[in-house]
Amino acid sequence: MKNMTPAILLVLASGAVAAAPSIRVDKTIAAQPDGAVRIVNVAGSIAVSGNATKEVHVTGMIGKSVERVDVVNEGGTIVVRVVLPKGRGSYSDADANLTIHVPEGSRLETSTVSADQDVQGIRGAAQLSTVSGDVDANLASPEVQIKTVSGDLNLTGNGKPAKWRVTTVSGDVVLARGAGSLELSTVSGDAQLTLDSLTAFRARTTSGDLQLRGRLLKGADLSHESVSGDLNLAMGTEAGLTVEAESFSGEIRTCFGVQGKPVSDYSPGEKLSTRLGEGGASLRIKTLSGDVNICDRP
Amino acid sequence: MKVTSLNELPRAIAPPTDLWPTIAAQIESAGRHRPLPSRWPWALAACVAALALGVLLGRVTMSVNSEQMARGAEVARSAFLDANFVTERQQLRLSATEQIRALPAAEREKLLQSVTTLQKAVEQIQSALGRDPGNALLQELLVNACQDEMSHLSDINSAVRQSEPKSEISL
Repeated sequence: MKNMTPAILLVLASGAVAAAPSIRVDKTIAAQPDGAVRIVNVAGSIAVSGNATKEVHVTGMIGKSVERVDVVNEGGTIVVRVVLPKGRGSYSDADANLTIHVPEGSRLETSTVSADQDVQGIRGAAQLSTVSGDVDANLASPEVQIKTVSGDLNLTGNGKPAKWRVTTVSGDVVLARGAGSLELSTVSGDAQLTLDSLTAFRARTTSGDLQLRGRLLKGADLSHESVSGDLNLAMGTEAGLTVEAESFSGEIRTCFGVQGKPVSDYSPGEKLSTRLGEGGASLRIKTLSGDVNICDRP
Repeated sequence: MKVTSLNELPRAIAPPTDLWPTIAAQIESAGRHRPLPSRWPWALAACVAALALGVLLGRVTMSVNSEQMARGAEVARSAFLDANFVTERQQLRLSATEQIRALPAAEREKLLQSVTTLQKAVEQIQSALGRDPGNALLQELLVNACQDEMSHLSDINSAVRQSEPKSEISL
């Protein structure tokens, strides 16, 4: 066994050398303060930072299997693209770990496969998509669209009204300091959402559970539909709330003393129709077997 | 009236609730946002028609007796989804599963569970509709669940297929 140790170490060391990112990238290109920036990476990570700058600056390390990193202006859009050789069957050794500084007013679009995304300080519209990478984003964008298949999302807004649109299959979603409108679609991913001032909300989940916190503005329009996912809503209201909720076999509970009533003597479903105060915000809920908890206090 | 065959039912009876305007609007809305296979919305429409037939069958059967009602509910359950829709969905599901198998183990496991979740959700609603065919909530949930399943399967297919090296992804 002792004789084998050096051989094992040698094999491990050579493997580590082969797998280690070994090529440094440092590229800069001029950019418009409010122009479009598109970033495409497969594996590894991208860290995008919005700054008071007039250029896009890309630094980082790329694996030996990466052919090159293009940083080009394509018809006014700055494109940062990690290029892999043709005919590759997998991307397991093709990591590119990039840090990208862009003008803070940029309209940002990212596409990654397994690469994680860290996006900070962007003020232009943001469109982020990934297959399995996680997304950590702190955004001041007026419009945010995020799509993921299995990656988890950790999102922070700036408390100012924005239009959020989030789609995930199995990834979980955490949103803090959101405001404005939110459209959410998830299959099995759970969502914890905090929206300081909500004007519109539309969610469809299959089995994912949803927690909603924050404050409803007058005229806010909310709808939630699930198959088996639970909804736990605790939001203060500016001008009351009108609730229409129906569950085929789940329970409907509230913190304001009104509970769901059986739909009939022959089925397990519950229904709740009630109005609080002026009824200034509207909440509609439909679920097959999910439980619903509603509270008018955050 | 005892119904023993689908052929005994009238061929043209309007469903109790006209769901089509809502469905058409949702299909149109979904089509604006994501590239989907062109045929499945039509299959989904056929699914809605079959759903209406299933509801009708269930109601007719419910008026007979409990034994026949149970049998009718089983027939209704299978009649809720149109054959073309089921075929399209099966193809999409197989394709998505094949794409998912190319992913690393951890992601593969999560996504396969999601595909199963989508499938079970539709089955749960179908099962509930089998017991309560005239339930408007279930009808709406079934249509939306079918739509969501196809949409998410398309997203998975598209994202994973286009995520192959040298390609840009489009979710």
